[in-house]
Amino acid sequence: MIDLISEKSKRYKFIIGSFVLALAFLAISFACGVYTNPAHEILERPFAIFIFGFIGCWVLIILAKIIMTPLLQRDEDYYQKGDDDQDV
Amino acid sequence: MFNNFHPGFILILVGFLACVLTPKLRKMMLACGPFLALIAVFNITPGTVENFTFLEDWTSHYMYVDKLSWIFAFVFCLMGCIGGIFSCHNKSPLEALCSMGYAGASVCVAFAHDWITFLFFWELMAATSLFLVWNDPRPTSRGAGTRYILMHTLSGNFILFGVIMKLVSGDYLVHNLVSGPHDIAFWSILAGVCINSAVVPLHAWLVDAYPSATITGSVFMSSYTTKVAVYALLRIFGGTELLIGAGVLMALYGALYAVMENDMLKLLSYHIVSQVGYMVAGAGIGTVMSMNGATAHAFSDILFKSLLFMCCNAIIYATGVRKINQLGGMAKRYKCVFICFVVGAFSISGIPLFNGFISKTMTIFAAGLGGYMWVSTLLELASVGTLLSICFKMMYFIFLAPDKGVAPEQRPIPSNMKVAMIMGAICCTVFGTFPQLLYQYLPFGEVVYEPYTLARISAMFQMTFMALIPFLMFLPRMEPHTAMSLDTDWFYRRPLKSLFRGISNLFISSCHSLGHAWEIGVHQFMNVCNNPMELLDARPFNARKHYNPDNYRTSIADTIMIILTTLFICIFYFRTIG
Repeated sequence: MIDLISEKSKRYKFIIGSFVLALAFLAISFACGVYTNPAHEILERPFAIFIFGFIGCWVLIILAKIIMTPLLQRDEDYYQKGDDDQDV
Repeated sequence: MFNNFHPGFILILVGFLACVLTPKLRKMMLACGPFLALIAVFNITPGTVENFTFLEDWTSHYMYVDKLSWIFAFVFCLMGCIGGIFSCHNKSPLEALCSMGYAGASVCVAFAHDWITFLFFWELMAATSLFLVWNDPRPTSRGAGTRYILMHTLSGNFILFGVIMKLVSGDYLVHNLVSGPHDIAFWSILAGVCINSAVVPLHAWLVDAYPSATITGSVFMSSYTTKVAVYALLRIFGGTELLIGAGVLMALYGALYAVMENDMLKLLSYHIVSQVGYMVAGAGIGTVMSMNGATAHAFSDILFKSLLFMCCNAIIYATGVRKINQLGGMAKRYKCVFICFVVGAFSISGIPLFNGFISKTMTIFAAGLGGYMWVSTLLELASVGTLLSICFKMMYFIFLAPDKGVAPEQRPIPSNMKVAMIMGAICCTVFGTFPQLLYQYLPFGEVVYEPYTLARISAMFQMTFMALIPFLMFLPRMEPHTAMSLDTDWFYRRPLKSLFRGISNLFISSCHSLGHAWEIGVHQFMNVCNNPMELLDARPFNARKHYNPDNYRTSIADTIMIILTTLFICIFYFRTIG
């Protein structure tokens, strides 16, 4: 099993590996003279989907884990509090 | 042999037989029976119409087959086969009846051509699926089932109201209402279908009920209710622009909540909301490609979502643990489940060679082609969310992270579960690798979309690997906490709870008061019976003295006086006469 949380060096290797693979696919796109979504004005530009994947993922992580989690998460028995039979 | 046999009726019959047969025969019936329905679907050709007349002049158009209803009936029956195998070890006859009845009712909705038949089977779906929730022994399932049926009753009533309005205006057949008047019937039926489609903010019933269903029941539930609603949206409301925004909101909302979620099945339920969002948006755009994309994605979603549900339920079955933060190391322990989960995760994330890739990209492409750039971009963002929560988060924390040792194996995974998962994984891979197998049956015209171009494959892998980097950078904080997320049901769960408690208390105190009043009434009645003279008393009841029989008795002196007087009269008479 892979412990990527405590083994930082292994995690960095995976990060670099992911980046290299993404670059490789970007290079393939350029080499073949094709870009990404041909029906999309924004995403059809060079590097667009490459950057979109990275920034999009950060946006979702920030929204979900940093903004929404403290606002919306409660104890697991939130709805059962005060119930006699835990049935509601 | 099976010409024009209704596959939905076959599935319902399989359910009834499985319910009454012995456990051994039930197992066989559940594993083999749904294949008869699949054969029946293959033997029906678009254009087939079957009617049934009753109540003198009312005709039920119970089987109207066109390309749209056929493709949905096909995938419902295919899922019935996979689900039947997955659940055939079940000992509960009621669950066998309800799961097959639910699948059969879904097929019947797809084939129904008149409003009454459509509504009847729509309600049958709700009724049968309810028992898949209530059949689970956990106490929370009872509450979840009650909320589920309340929401589906609301949905059914909206549709019933719209259907009555349609029937009054002489409109008997199910057809696209977008071109017609946008009257109260239109909005009423749309509201009912939107509840079943889990359109945000009417989606909370799904995330509440699906994880509360039985281990095999939730697999069925993940496949039918929302997809039948998508079928209804495509048939009745295709081209309603309002649905575009609703679909985008669903796709993003589900993806964001899934990132936070800790319960495996709740996370997958949020992804049902998210993936149905693509279909709702596709139905709203209303072009040939978007409608085909929505149909294809509904087809794919049934296969990969049921596969993911089967994998997670297999782990729950074996370990009894539902929380992601208590699991880890499952890849080593359950290799078959892990491989099937990888196929399901790659499929839902739209990785090439898996079926999500051929359907999800078509819907996003259709949005771009239709001039909805913001829709296309936001749906693309939602697909990054799918990668993040299922492909990265679930796969790492459940399967690849070190085992935390708190989820020991309680019982082995039955072989029928493994067979069903492998079947699902094969379907996802085959349809993903050979898209024409699905595209040739898409109902809204010829498919001019080619998924396997270098541009799309390259774009998908670029996005996947670049999205992996933030996940790895943020990994120590990505592990979910033991908590629940507040959702839109917060607005009605607590207020409704207070309302129901208030009403209950009101009834109880009313009963007590009535009981007291009854007691007083009986007492007064007894008094009157004892002494009818009280009726002549002019004073009000409250002012009267309680009945006391001594008040009405004559004294002993009167009696003695009467006796003595009578005695003296007699003595006097006899002495005078004598």
